[in-house]
Amino acid sequence: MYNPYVVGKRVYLRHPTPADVEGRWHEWMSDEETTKWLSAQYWPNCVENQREYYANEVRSRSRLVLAIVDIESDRHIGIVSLSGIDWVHRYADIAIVIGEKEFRTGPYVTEAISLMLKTAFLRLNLRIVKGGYVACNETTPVIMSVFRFREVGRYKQLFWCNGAYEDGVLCMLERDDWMRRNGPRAR
Amino acid sequence: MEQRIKAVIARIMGVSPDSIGDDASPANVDKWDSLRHLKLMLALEEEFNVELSEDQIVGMTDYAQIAKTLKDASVS
Repeated sequence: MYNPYVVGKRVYLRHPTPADVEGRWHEWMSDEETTKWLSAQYWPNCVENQREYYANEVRSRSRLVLAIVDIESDRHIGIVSLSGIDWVHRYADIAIVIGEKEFRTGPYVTEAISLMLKTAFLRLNLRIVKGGYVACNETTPVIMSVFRFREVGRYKQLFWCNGAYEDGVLCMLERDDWMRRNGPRAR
Repeated sequence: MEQRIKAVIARIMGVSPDSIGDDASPANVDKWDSLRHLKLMLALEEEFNVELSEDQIVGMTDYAQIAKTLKDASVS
């Protein structure tokens, strides 16, 4: 493991490196399937954009961007982030991308999100983690349910998706709820 | 409890309960993909009326680990 920030059973999270930027990261953010439910889906990405993102965003204190690395192969397989971190009101938005497709069928997503939530609530002292998804997305609401995010509202017909406007679903997870479920075991 | 776990797995994966053996896992059950796996976690919580922690869910990767976790959680 190189420079681990938080370590799980199958994956660890670490600060992204220049080598990550020069690797396949930028290709993930151009791939149609990978970006299907992301705001990044509309424009192609390139390594120059990735370098700029790395220089300007990855080191920002209003954003925590971590590389997801498979422990067995030490391979960079995705990105998980907390963005829009508000240090006064203590909330942030979570997002995840598993770029390497062969790692989408295993428990990597679950573990990476779990590690990030643990980081958000126990290490960064955040109070609320927010999320959102397009209503016609089948996968994300299941993930949100597993982690006990609750729906708190909808933007009606906000997103153009596959030939129709779809609702944008807003959800949140509060630390008190997370602690009730995970606190004694997480510490 | 073992038969109830296998019945839930079979229902979520859309296969016959008879095809779920003690070695059942995403590697040998064709339809056991990541989305169905997450649905399985929710279905098991409902079936056994238990709230699993994230650490427990992360560890429940196949039938054997599911059965062990639920047994350790003393569900009935």
